[in-house]
Amino acid sequence: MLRSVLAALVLATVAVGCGGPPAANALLTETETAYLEAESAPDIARSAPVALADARDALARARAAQAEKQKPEAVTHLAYLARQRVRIAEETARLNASAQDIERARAERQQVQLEARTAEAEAAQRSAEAQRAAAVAAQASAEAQRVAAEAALRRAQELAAQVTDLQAQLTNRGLVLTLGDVLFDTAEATLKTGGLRAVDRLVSFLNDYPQRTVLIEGFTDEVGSDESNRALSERRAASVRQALLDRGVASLRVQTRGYGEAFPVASNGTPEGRQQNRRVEVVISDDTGAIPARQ
Amino acid sequence: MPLLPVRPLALASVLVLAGCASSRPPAGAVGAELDAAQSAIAQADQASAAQHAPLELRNARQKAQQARAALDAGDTEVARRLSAEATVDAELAQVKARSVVSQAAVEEVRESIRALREEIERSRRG
Repeated sequence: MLRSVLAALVLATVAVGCGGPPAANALLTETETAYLEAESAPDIARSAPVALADARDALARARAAQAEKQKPEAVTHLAYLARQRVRIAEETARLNASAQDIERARAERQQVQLEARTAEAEAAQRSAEAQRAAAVAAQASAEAQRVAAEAALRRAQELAAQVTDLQAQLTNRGLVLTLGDVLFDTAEATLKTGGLRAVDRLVSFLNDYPQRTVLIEGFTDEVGSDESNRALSERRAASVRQALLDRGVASLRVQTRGYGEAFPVASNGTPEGRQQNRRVEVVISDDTGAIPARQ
Repeated sequence: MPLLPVRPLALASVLVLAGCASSRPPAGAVGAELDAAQSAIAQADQASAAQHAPLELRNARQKAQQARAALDAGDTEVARRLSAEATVDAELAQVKARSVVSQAAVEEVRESIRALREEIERSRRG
């Protein structure tokens, strides 16, 4: 009985060890798959051929061990070595690829650095040019301001000279030229030579300042009726107006008013005062043509 | 009890074992393999595998330790296998570490290119 058991045991060992097909090894199967994938990857075959060959050889040894029906742990051990060799091939391919990538990237970076420096230089140049242009513009602006100021000063000086020539006064209503009683025929509206000379000066002024207009206001003293004084003052203002028109001043520019006895400038109690009140005031507008109303 | 046919049985067993198992390697050769494994581990360490391929490096170290223990216990076959596995694990750790480092270097250069391009864009926009 024991003999037959032992015999069976021996037979069983022999059968398992050296007869029939080899038992499948899970790690070997996995390694076969992994190797086929690595072999068919173009970049691994190209950039890690030696490592891939090592993996192939290790796999062949594992297969052989299995075909020879070596112990499972022996087959597994060889399959493990092959599996790691496949991984080494994959990682080697990655390493070589990234070494190439670094070279390319470094070359690209050099190019881009050059580009960056160029762009920076161009930007600096643009900035410098802009600054120059701004400086030129500022200078031109300052020059223009200076010229304008000079022109304004000249105009003011001319005006002052003209006003002096005109013998007008600057009042709160603007320039006022006063034509006194002596410039008119006594109690009449006719202008005497002196009055006409004053008108000439006024015409000259109005020709030089074509934007300005005039308001001619006539006044009398208290002697006589309000009505007749009003009429006289109006006639005197109209007389001055006509003289201006005769000398070419546009009628649009000339207005008249007769105030009669109103707005005396001196006391009507003395001959001198009365003479002062008998006057014509020519109010000259500003250079927009505006004349403030009489207060 | 009848006598067992010891000799044929023993012979058969020896034949089976001889046919289906490898021979016992000598201790000296295994020691050399273990030294090779340690050398491979040292190289992997130098390549910063502890940082970039820690699992693979740890596997290599553990197997080398186990190989040493097996060798000391006279288990030369086991020691030889463990040494061989420790070596291949260390090689994998080394190449993986170098690969990781290299890829990081590429990314760094690419990042600097991106930064430069942004600078160019800013310069051009004025």
